[in-house]
Amino acid sequence: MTDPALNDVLDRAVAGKAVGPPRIDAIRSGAARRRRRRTTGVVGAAAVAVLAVVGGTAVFAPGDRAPVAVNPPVVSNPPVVPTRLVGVGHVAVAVPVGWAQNATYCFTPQRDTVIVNQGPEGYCMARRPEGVESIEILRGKSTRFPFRDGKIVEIGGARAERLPTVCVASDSDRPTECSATVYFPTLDVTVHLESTTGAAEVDRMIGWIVVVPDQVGVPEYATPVTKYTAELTALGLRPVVVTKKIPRYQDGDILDVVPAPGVLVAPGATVTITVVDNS
Amino acid sequence: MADDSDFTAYVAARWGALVRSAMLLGCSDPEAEDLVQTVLERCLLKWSKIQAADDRDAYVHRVLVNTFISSRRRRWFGEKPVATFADSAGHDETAAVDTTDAVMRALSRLGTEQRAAVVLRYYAHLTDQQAAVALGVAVGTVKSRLSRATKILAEDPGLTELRGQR
Repeated sequence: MTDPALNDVLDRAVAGKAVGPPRIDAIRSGAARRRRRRTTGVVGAAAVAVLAVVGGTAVFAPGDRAPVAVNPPVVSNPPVVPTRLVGVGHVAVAVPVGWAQNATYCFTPQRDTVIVNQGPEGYCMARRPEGVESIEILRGKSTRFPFRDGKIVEIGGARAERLPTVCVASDSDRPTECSATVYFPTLDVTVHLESTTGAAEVDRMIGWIVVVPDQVGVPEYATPVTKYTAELTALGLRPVVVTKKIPRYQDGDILDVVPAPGVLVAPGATVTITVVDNS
Repeated sequence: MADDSDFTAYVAARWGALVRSAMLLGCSDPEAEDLVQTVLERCLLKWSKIQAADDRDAYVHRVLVNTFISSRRRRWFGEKPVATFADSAGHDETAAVDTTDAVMRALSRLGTEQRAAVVLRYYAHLTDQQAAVALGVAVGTVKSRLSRATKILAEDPGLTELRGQR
């Protein structure tokens, strides 16, 4: 049977079939129902993993009850340019592939960058150039941000506390800095967004945040290494610690993590941590 | 949550074709709409990922085929309650019934995988590469399934008659 003939008979077979109008409202509500179920599943799985690791002690902060979503879901709006996902735990951000990672000087972004595991840097009042965007992804609820003022939103099917976008004008020649912060209580991840382009850019970047139930972002380092391995295990990853002698370094210093913090891997993947041990 | 306007536009453009693809896969008419609703609910959850994919049609059809096969395994077809019944256009179906019946009978002679390959390639008009993505197999596997399937269909007496009617 020739290709055109088969095309034709299949078309004719169903051409006369009456099809109702698209069920767009039913699809939306069905998706919302699935999203709620999926979020519950992710949190449940994380809780099981945590209990297995720490022998029944939950590591979620005691006051972290999941907030109730009362605002419309944040609409996903990834950049139109090619992107890569960078994340911590089950929260990731689709950043343009041209963005750097940890391109900061004295904690101050110098070009468009995503920040995961910034590492030690001195503070030196560095100037942030105009038109620079940055997104910082942190494990846990950072005390740097006043979450008392947050409103409850839904992002990628998960509930989140979102601090309003605020802009701070400098009295010097520094550009105005706008920022917003989002915290996912059930996933225990904070995302902080900053821009010297404007508030609209910050709001736009919030649409780049996604929840990835089937992947895990390697979190930033934590010391001692036992704390870090517990965090990795709680996220469903398999930490492997290797040691290295470097005489001038302190025992216990983390030298390297592979895959690097921010990289998304499959649950159960191995994360190799190289630690100084001069004993 | 994915970009709603883009998703809505996609559903508006593809709903009919997806429902008819589901019918050709083997769904009854009401099942087909329920199945596609389930498929699009799943796709909406990952719409940003689908938007970023090289080929969203291949991705959506992959979900369609997987959901269809899964529904058949479970012998539960996910019937969806609706608030209102869509108005039917009231076609005179007597003329088309023979065609439909002959095609469905011919397709039922194929295995599930062969049938899916035929529907994706010859009704949904996916390329071999797109069909391979949708079926989760190599392009060569798609070609071999299509080769065997078209041979079976070519020998089907009901389809032979149809080809002469056009």
